[in-house]
Order: sequence, then structure tokens, then C-alpha cells
Amino acid sequence: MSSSNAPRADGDRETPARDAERADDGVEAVCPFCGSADTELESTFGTEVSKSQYYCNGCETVFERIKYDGAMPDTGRERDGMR
Amino acid sequence: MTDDATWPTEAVDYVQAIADTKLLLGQRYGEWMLKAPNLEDDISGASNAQDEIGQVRQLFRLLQQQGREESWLESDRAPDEYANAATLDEAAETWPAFVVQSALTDRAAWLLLDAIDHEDFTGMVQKMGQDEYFHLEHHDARLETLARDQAEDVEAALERYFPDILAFVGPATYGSGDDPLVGAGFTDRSVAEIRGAFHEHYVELFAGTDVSVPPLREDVPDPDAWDETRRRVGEGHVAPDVVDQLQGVSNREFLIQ
Repeated sequence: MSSSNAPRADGDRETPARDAERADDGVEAVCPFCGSADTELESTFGTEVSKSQYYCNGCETVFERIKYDGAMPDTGRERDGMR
Repeated sequence: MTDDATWPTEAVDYVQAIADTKLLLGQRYGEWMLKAPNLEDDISGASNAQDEIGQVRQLFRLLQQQGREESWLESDRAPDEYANAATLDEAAETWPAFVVQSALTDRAAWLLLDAIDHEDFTGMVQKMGQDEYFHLEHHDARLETLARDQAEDVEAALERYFPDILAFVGPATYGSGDDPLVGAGFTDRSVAEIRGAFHEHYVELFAGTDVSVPPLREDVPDPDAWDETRRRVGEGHVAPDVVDQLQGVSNREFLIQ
């Protein structure tokens, strides 16, 4: 997270102008640390191109989520590794 | 699905081979991430390397629960103790060869992972599959482009790597009634079936191109010569200098005790 995007002492986060323009990606991203669904899309790219970055308002933590809602590679059979 | 706390010995070897293959995949992706022909390929190489090493961390954790020593897994092994797919023993010299090398190996490792039907892997294989979705889509897209532009190079690489990747998957004699891991309930898909799905994928991918996929030969690997522990035929291994990199030997001087 960039310093300009860090939580301020009063608890409110400074938000870059481009964040304000960024549309909600329409995905409910649940925080893996505290389970809160009160999360915001932070960046469409995370540490990898295949991941998006989110910010959890519940525990004030940045986390990442793999894109494409659980898409799995073909295995040539029905189950495709879903377990 | 089984949930026995202690896996059969063959299952520990099976997961070790997948983990070591992913360790080497991370290494090979890392080697190419600064010299691929496009920036997008460089970025994907860096991302794939991170994914593979992250998956290795999880698999090593499970292997430690099965009694494998952390020091042995991480840094106390000779080159011939790594059970990586033989496809990764040497770095590919050209871009088409690297794409074929990594595509075949990553897909084979995914199919072996997907076959595991044990409680310890619940959720984890699915998450790894989400990583692999990007790897395998990217590989197939590049293979389609290369099949159009450099068909001879792709075909030569397929012929080079196919015997070793089939050895990694396992022998054709491991049908549903003869595969010891299916028999033990650790996997729910036989090696023979995985081989068929693997081969069929590439036959379909290259259909309509000038690239011929090598036939799925029943005698490759030779069942009598196949090493179940290292999932290969023969004594080959990665070079010692590569193992030094895997074990972080040159970085130890920076280690803070």
C-alpha cells in the first residue's frame, strides 16, 4: 500500500482520486483474516496479474483475491478439482 | 475421500514429486522471467514463479506432517534426492522449448494434484487450481501462437519432453485396478486415465496446426525401469549449481542467526 493510501491517525483513509472513479467490481470479497465483507477494491492488480487487491474496513488489512471467481483448469473430467 | 492421518508411503512419494516439480518450475519460470520475448511473458513468469513457490510451501507443510524433515526438504538434499519431473533437469535453451517444457510439466502436475482425494487437501487443491487456471490458459495461448509461427520448434520440443513427462505422470500399467494410490483411496483417478486426459488435451489443442503430438506409447515409461520415488526412468538430476540456488546457499552469508 502506498503511503498516500495509508490509514490516517483519525481512522479515515486518504483515497486517491482514481479510487473514487473506480467502479465497484461487483464481487463480494470477504476478508480472509477477520471474515468481514466490509471490503473495498484497492487495486485491480495485486502482487500478480492474476490477483486483485482489497482493503478490509473491519481489520484495516490489505488482502488479495484470485480473479475470475474460482475458474479452474480443465482436467478432462467432470470434477475439475472441486473439493 | 480418505482422511487417514498417516498416508501410505507411495502417497508421500507422490506428493514429494509434485512438490519438487513445482519447486523446479518456480526456478525455471524465474530464469525466464527477464528474457521472454514480451513484457507480458516476463510478468507472467514472475507471477507463475511466485505461485509455484507458494504451493511448494503448502505441500512441504503437509510433507512435514508425514515425517519429512524440514531441513531435508529445504536445504539438506543432494541433487539426486530431488524428485522433480525430468523435464526440468535442464533449462530450456529457446523460448519455444521453454513454453513446451513448462506447459507440459505444469499441466501434468495439476492433473496429479487434482487426482488426490484426501481430507488434508480439501480446499487447498481448489485454491492451487485457481492459480493454475492462469498458468495453463497462458501456456495454451502461447502454444497456439507458436504452433502457427514456429511449428517445427514446438514439435521438436514435444518430442524431446514427452517421454519424461509421461514418466512423471506414471506408467500405463497403472490402470484403475492396478494403481496403488487408487487402491489405497489416496487418489480417485488412475495414472492410466490421467495419461489419456493429458495426451488428449494436446491432441485437441494442436488439431488443425502443423504440429503433431507424439503418440501415447504404452511402453513409455518402461514399467520395469520406472522409479516410483522420483517418477522417472534413470538416474538423471538437476545440476548442483541449480540446487545451490534452490537451497539459497549463496544467501546464507546474509542470514541473521
